[in-house]
Amino acid sequence: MIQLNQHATPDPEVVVTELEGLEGKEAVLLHLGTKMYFTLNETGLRIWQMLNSGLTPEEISEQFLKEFDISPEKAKESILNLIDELITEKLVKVADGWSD
Amino acid sequence: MNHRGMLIELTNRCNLSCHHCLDRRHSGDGDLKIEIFERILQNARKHGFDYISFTGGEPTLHPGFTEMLTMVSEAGYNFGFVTNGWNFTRIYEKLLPHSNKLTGITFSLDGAREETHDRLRGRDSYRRMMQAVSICVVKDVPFTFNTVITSYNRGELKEMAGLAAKLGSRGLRFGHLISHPRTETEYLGLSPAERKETEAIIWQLQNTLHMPIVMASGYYTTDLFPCAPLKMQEISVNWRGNITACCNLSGHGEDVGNDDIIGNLHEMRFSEAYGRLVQANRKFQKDKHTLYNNGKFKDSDYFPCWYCLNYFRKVDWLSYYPENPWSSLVWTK
Ligand SMILES: C[S@@+](CC[C@H](N)C(=O)[O-])C[C@H]1O[C@@H](n2cnc3c(N)ncnc32)[C@H](O)[C@@H]1O
Ligand code: SF4
Ligand code: SF4
Repeated sequence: MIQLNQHATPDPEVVVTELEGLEGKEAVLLHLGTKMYFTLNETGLRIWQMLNSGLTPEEISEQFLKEFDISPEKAKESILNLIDELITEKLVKVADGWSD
Repeated sequence: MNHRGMLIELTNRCNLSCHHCLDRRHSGDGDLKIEIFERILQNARKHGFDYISFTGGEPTLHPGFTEMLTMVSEAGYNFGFVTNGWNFTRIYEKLLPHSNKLTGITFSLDGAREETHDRLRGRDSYRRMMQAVSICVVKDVPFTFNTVITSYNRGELKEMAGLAAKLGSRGLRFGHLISHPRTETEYLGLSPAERKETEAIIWQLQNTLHMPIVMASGYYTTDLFPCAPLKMQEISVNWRGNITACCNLSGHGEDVGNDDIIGNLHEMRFSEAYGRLVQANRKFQKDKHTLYNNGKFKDSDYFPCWYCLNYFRKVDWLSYYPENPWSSLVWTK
């Protein structure tokens, strides 16, 4: 599990494509190594963008509370869950020093 | 069912300058006139054509591309196009309303690896195509890949097939390079023997995946009339409004042979140009039979596009490249 204060960064091998979905903006991630696709909804895309700008899960969570109508617990939980999934799919890498 | 298609070069403009591509195909600023396009749509069906395929240059750069999509689907034709993918994030939404008529998009993939594709097509080209492909997957738009075999990518054929299948492509089509002076100065072309070797690899690959893997016409065959243009199942129109014998030949030859240009739709009715094409096709068939029956065929003439390039005098320039393995195979008068 990723921790709230750990840095996780998008793998440079991932091609991100933003597009208009039925429920607003969404994105498709394609890992050039594994050739696997992964779709993100609007909030997932925001998490991805914030990871990309170097924010920790904690900082993303704080930002989320400003942008979305969501409780702090729920925000943290969904952010950590998504990042864990992105790690499993090799779409983001945890900064050095992290182990599970 | 056999579809008959019109292959329409919408423009000779392009955002890229790929190493294997003929300069005059991508370095211009000319677009097919919408009036000519309209006439094609009005007439093609009468001659049994039910499918329109756009090419270029980069077809999506035609200023009327969106309007043309509407025109083609309202006229009841199925359609598709071949593209480098760069413009796709901008145009895909315009395609979706016509998805019932869109049979598929062909992306030009010239390397399994990013560095190979970009070496031929320019920096970022691979990633831009992957973005386009990602959109197709999410929006359920069918797509295939087209690969021109060159000395740069011939070692990646198997990898290319694996990549295409993993990405969700409906197929992969390999084709031989039509050489021109630029491809020769950059040593992109393969010799006849190397072409046969790559074909053998591709024929083997065909049975390894569920995805169809085919070769575009131009591979070695004893069939004298193996392709859609020679069977009159595909007609090409270039951006100037010329009906031509085949898009593969269009613009090639350094202006020596231009007999592949059949008639211009600015100057004559569609049916007249079509009639001329039928005549030209008959003559071509007769001449090919005669040459074959007289025992004048060289082994290299079983590469049908090479035969056409000679027939239409598109390879005279090879005399300036005597060290090129095809040079000694050019027909002498
Ligand atoms: C001329 S491009 C036009 C469409 C679009 N710009 C693209 O690249 O897909 C159509 C196809 O012709 C291929 N092509 C370009 N130069 C070629 C050549 N010298 N011989 C054979 N095919 C070629 C391209 O790779 C592409 O798949
Ligand atoms: S192959 Fe297509 S993308 Fe490349 S220069 Fe030619 S027209 Fe443009
Ligand atoms: S160049 Fe000749 S053989 Fe090749 S596809 Fe065109 S018409 Fe057929």
